[in-house]
Amino acid sequence: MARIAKKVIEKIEEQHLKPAPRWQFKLHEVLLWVFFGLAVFLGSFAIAAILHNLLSNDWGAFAQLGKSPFEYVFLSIPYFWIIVFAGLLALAFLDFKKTEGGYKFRSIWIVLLSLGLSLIFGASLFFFGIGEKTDRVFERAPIFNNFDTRPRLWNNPLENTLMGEITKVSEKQIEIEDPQGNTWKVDLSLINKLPDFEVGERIRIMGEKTSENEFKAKIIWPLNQPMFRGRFQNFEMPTPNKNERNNLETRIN
Amino acid sequence: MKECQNKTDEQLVLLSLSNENYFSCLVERYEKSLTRYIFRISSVTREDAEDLLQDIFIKAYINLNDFDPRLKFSSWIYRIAHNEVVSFWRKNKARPQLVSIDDSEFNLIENLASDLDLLDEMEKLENKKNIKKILLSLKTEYREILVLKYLEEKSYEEISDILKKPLGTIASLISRAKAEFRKRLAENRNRYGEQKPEIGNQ
Repeated sequence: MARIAKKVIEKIEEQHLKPAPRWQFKLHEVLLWVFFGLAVFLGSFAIAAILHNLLSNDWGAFAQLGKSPFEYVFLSIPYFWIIVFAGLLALAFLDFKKTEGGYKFRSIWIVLLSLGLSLIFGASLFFFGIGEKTDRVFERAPIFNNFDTRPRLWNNPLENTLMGEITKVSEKQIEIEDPQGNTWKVDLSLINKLPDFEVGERIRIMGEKTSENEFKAKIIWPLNQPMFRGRFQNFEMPTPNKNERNNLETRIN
Repeated sequence: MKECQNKTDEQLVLLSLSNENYFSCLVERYEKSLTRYIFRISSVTREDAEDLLQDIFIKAYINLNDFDPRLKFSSWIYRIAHNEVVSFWRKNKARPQLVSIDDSEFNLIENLASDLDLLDEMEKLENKKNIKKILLSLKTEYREILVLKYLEEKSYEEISDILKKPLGTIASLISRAKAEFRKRLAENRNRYGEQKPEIGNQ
């Protein structure tokens, strides 16, 4: 027996070395595929949330909010979900690469595969309303608020916008809780035809702040829909009188 | 062991799983080629090379059940060898300096020369040495791949399995390595006669 071979066999015998069992390697492979699948699956929730944010946004409302189109688009992008999806895509990529045959595929194809699968599942989840539900689950998380730009657009009482969840309904008034946890009393006296509000519904309001934590609504519509779609579409746009219109236009501009 | 001679690598792997003495057949079969490979891609001493070789075979033994028979055993063990050499560099914070290619391996360097239409150059011994020096002076990534292709005479598929990179990437790397080789050769020709070509790694 050659010298090296003798040394190797001696070491194997001295240290009682044994080949690692096959199931260990199979388990490792299975876990890699499980983590790949999980990353793609969770990524699809992020895609659903991104689609929800993009499709429920009022892309034409930048004028009413006094923003330039560029600024409005910049503030409407769902950064939190894009970052989450990018992270999950990276995890999926790394897992795939580590599988037995993963090295045979070029990186671009692995990325496209993961992206494609997440897009398909994500679009399906969005279709069933999971996008909005996913968004709601995370919107109270502090880290989410660091990236969520929607309050900067839609929750500026001093700039005549307010958003939040309805917590109480009474005649001509509702109470809402904004993303910061503040409670607002919203006067509905200017709205002619009121829809049936439900506690728990999330809405956006354009109007005027009248005092600390009190707001007079001029337009109300759901947070998850563009203006004038869905069951709010039948209420009339209020027609402010001449003075009030001038005041409103001055504030918005 | 006489009974090793007529057995394929894959058969020896299966036998080694129940009796470690069969593993010595695989060690004997690959000892020389792996030793040469270690010296071709790194600058380790003979003692370190022996230690590395032992580590490679021990690792191969422990991971025998991870060997996929769809791969060639030689690709699998070369992959382990490559990874162990890289780990050795990292542990010892050593980058490959002057690695060695034996003068008796000029016939293998002809493989590279032939591919680059440099066979005429190879007629002069001095030029053979220059080609060898240029090969040794390439950056690690390029040298590794040219060593595997032209000195170890591995196919593209085998190199893909050894380095765990896609086939397309291997083809690109070989192409870039050859382009870099040609570039250095041209620079070398310009300097020839004025001064000796410098040797050094990136």
